[in-house]
Amino acid sequence: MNGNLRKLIKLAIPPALLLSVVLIVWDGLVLYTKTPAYLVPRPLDVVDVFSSDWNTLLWASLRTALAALLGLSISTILGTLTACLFSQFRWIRSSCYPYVIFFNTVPIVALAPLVIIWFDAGLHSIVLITSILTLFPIITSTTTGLLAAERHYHELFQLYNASRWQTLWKLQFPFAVRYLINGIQTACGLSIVGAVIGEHFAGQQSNAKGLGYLIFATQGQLKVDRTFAAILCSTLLGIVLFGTMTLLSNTLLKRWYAHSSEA
Amino acid sequence: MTTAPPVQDLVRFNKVSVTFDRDTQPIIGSLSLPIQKGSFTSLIGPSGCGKSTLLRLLAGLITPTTGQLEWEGSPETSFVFQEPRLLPWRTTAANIWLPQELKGAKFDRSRIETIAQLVGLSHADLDKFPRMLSGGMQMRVALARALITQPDLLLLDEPFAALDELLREQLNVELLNIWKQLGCTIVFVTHHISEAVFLSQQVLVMQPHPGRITTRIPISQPYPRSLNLRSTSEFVTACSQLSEELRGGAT
Repeated sequence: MNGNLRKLIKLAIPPALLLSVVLIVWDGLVLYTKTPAYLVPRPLDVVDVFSSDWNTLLWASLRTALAALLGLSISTILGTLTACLFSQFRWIRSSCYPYVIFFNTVPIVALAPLVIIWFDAGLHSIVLITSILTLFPIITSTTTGLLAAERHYHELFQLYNASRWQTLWKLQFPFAVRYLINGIQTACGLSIVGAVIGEHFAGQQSNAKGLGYLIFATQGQLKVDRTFAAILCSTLLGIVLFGTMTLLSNTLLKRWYAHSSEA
Repeated sequence: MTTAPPVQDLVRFNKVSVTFDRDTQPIIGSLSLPIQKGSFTSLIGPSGCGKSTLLRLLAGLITPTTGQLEWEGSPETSFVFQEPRLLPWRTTAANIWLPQELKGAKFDRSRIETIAQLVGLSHADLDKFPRMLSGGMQMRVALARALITQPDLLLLDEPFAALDELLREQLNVELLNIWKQLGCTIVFVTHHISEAVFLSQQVLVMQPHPGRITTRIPISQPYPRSLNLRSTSEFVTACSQLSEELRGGAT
């Protein structure tokens, strides 16, 4: 325990030091160049926003987190199912894959306003934009995982006359779990980006005024200290999401592996 | 003197050939061979002589290009591969049970324990994951997985090649005990001359281009065999005969 704590402190000190250096330099530069506060705020001004506007920031963060999580969940389910289909039928894979790349290359800032026009500025549209953005990494990494089981293992299953379904469920899927988790972790950051972009375009009409709304609204009002605080919140949200995902997957994975012995 | 009971074949190769690529020479060319029920046969030969292909034919993993395998009944077949091929997310017990699970059988812990004991695994080993086991223990798990189906025909493809000499000898003795207890037919592929002679009732020497059986050497020493067998003159003679055969094919 003591050793772990020491290791943690050792791990935390260098980035903390770097952060303080950056903050000091930032503050010094703003003072030295006499940059007005509506262009770049001083670090302490941003901290002030956290204490004065904590209520607004908290609710906006929760709304954005909800949209991101819903979008991520949908793309995880859809992406996994798609990957299962891709792994089972080569013709589906080869005919659909080019269109999957669409999800990776589509400029989401161009698509998002259209989604808002088509489906209104509600939470559902923001969730849809988030799913579109996060689908690609989940499909690709899960498909790779499902096809990664070595020929040797397939031969073992063939020897015991395993059905296609048994091979998928008892060999390919367990093999792919690590890849799926990797895909979700990549998608974590994207889900926040998707939600923020969605909220930005949903804008004033939306009943879901998340961080995306806050970032762009405060920018327009030249309240850059508030913009900085909101950006910081969305970054923190991404980190929290990623960290929770890593922790959750590690524990889930362990339990799932142990339980398969009774299956 | 009593007459010996008639010997029954488990399977006969009838002019079997295997060609993977139409333009190349066959991997196995027109091979005819009976394998007797309950026998212990070793296949030995240089790489590329078709030993593994012959095992895969018996396992049904590949089918002959020409000719056929004539089976007596439909024996239950198991395979022990060169590597343990254990599933890393399954415990020892779940790995052993896999073939039964794929058949839809209900998890039977006591049966797993019986088989585990037979191959020298402890109760504590059953709940470990493969990464927690040594190479030798992993091979024992792979052997247990092959035995859980109560096979009539057990195929082993150089299963002990990666293990050290002492462990290999120990596992050879254990394999013979298992064979005697279960009464199954064994076909064993190896590179190792003394291993082949020690284990088998007959050793078949194979040569490549195309894969064929060039010599059959019967080993008439009675079972149970102990490691002392290695100092008998028949053992030494059989080994030197085998190595000569193998060298003859190489030149």
